[in-house]
Amino acid sequence: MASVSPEQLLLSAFGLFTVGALVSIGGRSWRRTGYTSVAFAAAASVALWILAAGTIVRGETHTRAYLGLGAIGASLTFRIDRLSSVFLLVVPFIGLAALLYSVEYMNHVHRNASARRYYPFALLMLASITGVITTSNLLYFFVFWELMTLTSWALVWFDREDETKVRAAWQYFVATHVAAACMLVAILVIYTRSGSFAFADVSSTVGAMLRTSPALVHVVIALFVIGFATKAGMFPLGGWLPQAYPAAPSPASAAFAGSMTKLGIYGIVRVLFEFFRVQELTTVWGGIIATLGALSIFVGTLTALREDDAKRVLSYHIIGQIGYMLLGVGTAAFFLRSVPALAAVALIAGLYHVVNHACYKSLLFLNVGAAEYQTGTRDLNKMGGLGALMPTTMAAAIIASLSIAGIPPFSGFVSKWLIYQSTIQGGLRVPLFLVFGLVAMFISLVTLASFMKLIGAMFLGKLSTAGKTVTGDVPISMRIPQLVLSAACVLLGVAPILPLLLLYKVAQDVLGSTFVSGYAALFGSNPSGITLRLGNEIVGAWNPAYALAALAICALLAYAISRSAHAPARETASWYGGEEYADDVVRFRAHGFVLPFKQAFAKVYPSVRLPKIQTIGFMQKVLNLDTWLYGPIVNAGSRLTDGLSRTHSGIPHVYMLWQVIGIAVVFAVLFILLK
Amino acid sequence: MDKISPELIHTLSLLMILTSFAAVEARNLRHATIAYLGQALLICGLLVAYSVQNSALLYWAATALVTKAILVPWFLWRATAGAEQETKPLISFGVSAVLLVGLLAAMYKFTHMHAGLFVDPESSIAVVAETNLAVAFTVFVLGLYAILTRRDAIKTVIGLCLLENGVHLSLVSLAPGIRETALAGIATEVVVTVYLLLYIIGGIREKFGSTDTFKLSELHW
Amino acid sequence: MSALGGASFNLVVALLIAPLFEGVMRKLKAVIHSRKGPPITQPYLDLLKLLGKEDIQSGGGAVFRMAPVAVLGAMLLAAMLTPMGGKPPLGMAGDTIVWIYVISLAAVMIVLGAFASGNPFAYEGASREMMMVLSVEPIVIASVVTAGVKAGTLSLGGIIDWQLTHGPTMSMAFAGIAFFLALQANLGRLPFDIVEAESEIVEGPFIEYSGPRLALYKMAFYIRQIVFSFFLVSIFVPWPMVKVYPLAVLISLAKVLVVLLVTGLIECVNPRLRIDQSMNYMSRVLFVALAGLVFAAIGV
Repeated sequence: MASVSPEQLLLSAFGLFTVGALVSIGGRSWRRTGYTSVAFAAAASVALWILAAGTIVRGETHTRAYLGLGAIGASLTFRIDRLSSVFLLVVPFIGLAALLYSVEYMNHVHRNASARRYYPFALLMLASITGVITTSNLLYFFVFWELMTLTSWALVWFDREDETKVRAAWQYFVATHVAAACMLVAILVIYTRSGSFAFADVSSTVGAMLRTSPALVHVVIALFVIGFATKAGMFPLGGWLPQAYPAAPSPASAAFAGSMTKLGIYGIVRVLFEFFRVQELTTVWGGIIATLGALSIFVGTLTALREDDAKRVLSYHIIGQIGYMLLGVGTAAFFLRSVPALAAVALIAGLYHVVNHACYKSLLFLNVGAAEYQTGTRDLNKMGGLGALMPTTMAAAIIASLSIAGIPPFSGFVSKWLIYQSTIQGGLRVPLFLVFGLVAMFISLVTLASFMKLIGAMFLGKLSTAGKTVTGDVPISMRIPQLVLSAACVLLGVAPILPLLLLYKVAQDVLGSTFVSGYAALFGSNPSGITLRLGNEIVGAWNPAYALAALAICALLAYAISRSAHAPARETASWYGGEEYADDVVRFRAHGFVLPFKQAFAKVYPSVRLPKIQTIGFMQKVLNLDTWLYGPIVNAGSRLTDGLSRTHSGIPHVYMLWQVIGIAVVFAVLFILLK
Repeated sequence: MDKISPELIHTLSLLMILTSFAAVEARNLRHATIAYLGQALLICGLLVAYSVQNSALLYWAATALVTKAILVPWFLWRATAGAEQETKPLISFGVSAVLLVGLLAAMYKFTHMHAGLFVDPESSIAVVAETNLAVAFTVFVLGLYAILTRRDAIKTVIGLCLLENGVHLSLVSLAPGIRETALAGIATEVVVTVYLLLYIIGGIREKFGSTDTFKLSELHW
Repeated sequence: MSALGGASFNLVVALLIAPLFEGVMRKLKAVIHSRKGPPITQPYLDLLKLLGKEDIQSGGGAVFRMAPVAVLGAMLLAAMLTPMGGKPPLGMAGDTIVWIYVISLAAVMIVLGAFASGNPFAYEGASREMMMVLSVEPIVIASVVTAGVKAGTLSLGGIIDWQLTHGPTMSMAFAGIAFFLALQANLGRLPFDIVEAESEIVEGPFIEYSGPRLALYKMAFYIRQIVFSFFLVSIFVPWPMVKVYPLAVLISLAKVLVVLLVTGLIECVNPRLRIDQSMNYMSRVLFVALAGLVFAAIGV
């Protein structure tokens, strides 16, 4: 049996995505275009999964150079290493689930729009994400990054009739391009110092740059971090996220949340651990990123609590959860030289959270999309009681919500537990990380509150007026992705050893094998659980199998107690204090859930009651980039384009006048020159 | 060279300016067409006059007669059937006339001054050539003026024909002796373009009920 | 003491002794009110009666039916993780975090069950329960992390060992005081019984539950009382510790009884606070807990 080389697998994946995109341009029926796109994406995903699996087992692969631009020293080289293969496993998974879901979703919700505005862009976005995570040349990295931004922008801008969505798309465009510009500047600075765009040459260049101009190195790292953190949605650069993600169709938002935001984390890991891996730099920047991560956790989740639009809630939670990932990665960078084992654990925790978040956040977007599909609304105050009619969606949503809140035994708990362990162990040495750990734990509860509100408002309780038109659950092709993703959430929580082994290998790759001792020395040799060791002492243990078994036994005991007297059961109507009310009149609106808490925090968190209130106010203004940076840029751009568009009035004379003036100017110049 | 009478050529050229003026300014489109017809005949006459030294120009004259003097006026006549009055342009007659005269004078003077760039002052055709060049450039500018400032689409077409006339005139006065002049002249007849433009204008009239080009801005994607 | 034996012992204490403590507190309340009050075994009789009563359901589906089972199950698991007179039987490294999460799981299930019952009173109760969790859990987390920082480990057994060898310290005192101040809210007793506020929202999250399911909730409530009390006395006041296991258990039980009597006393002389007043109070207690953490970080 002929073995396929990794290079061929990668190229065939690109080819399949591109061919699928081209084929779907000719599509007219939503369903047919959808299923063909899914077929192409599935084939490409299989190729990528085989590639990722092979890389995990065998180690990294380099490919030859394509499309060489010798004049500027750039050529398209690919390098698939274990870090890329983690993303290569996750991204096609999420993308495929979202694509399968979109077949029926787009057919129903956006039936008046054209299929060729959606599927080609979706497939090209997946292809460009694959390019971003596999290329090893800075210039082509930027090219793929731009491609990914443009294709996702086309998806955000899908619903062109709605004015707010068009503004959101414009804001997305500006924010991501400012970030990309920062990244480009950083890349160019490195290029001017090293003369090459290859990843491999960057660290030696950085070493040289540190000796000559260390301030410049920090500026370059800052630019990279700004670029990647904007994409990830870190506070304070993530203001565009809650505008842009709800504007896109739900499966597209799911794909964004599951794959695109993660690329920011991928970029930061590469920057911190590969390009700029020098002692002072990783410590300083690890601390900065961990602090910003903790801030994102705090601000993002608390703001999410105040929202009533389901997709905006989820988008603010993305900001919060990205904070967790950044906290893990930042802690890892901070402790890279001092306590390498702790750095390994923190890095693994951050990456595990990346994988978990991809699964449950995209699942949540799909759930909200399913509710939108059936009721036509995203407003949590208008939905209610859909659980009886949509049991699969409700079960998936409950699993996803419990995962994101970090309730054992679901996937979120394992990664959050590892993050707590690493921050608290780090906090024993540097007390600041204790604060981060506390914030992380507290916000885990706030996440829980927020998702209880979401689940309760959408699925539980009495049927709302919007839900009266719902007949049943969404079509099977929309339920399958939800089921698969929930199975992933459960699996990642109940059997953490599989992802941990993989991520351990990744950490070895990224941190260097001299730093990391051995899987068993770090995570214990118990196949069903984790026994965390730092140095020689056991600092934490978690065995989901045992915990689940214990919980099951206790629940069975409780159930036995409840049935012990064989009490009869009877159905009645709800009791409204003895009065007769229509269900919808007394239905509790989502807005009222934890209302006093929201009001309390509205007073506290924008102006912390510490002596330096004025500074905080100013910082608040500075950090609200929307008002002073993105907003004015967007408005100026609009005014400029409006002005320019008046030159195209549709009257031929104006155009001819422009031509004549142009020719006259040219002739005048020539005349003067020839004189 | 001596066989060409300079006075004849002068007269013909200046008459050309007059007819161009009439073609641009006439409010009645059919009158403008007649003015153009006159100009076309003048060009043919000029070509015949030049053909004394270059018999190939006779072919060109013949073709020009057919296309410029017969076909184009016929097309224009057909296109202006029933819609003879031009849509009122932005600049009224009086102002426009004054402007034109000023423009003409300036152009003529300007070209005459700098004709030395194109024509070798020593050659025998120098005087005639300078005048013709000035006239050609003036007609060219008049045609451009018509295109830019006239609101009616038919006037645009007439302006285009004036442009062509100006170019041909300059061609023949710069190089009357070579065979390729005639070739170039015949090849650059714009009759096909005029036909197509008039076809499009017919479509515009169908859609909007008039040939007012300002209405074109109502066309959207 | 094998894990399984200890776990079963904890379960027995939780299921059988918890209602007894509740009965004692009721008796205390009656004495303060100058009443005779019910017998100490009244909670047992209440539970048995409820188990046999008709289970009236008002829709709500599987979530409604399974929520009480999950709540009691989580509380029993928490009981098995709680140290009752020694090390926790199912203890493992880092089990403080697991303990906190299992308690939160119980709160989650209460909220979900309340939502599923579809009653607006239940919603209000669920909202209040969530806010109580949000304001009280940080105090518990801060106290526990303070203990963890002092002891250098996050395992309950390790913390207890450290406390026994090192004696009382400033930071642990702060953490213990904060935990005690928050205990009233954790037990759901006046002035913090906002969640169940009988006269306001008619038992709140539990309004639509009756019969055996209500019995499960009540049992979970009683177990929660002793779990938190055991946690407080074992972690923050583990002295005196004796080597003989049954004696140690008895001493723990005595301490728990003292704690519960104090909380009962507080309950009798206080009115109910509003939710925003309670959140204000908790934020001040949080400062105490954070002070303990700061002391721990600087090594006091």
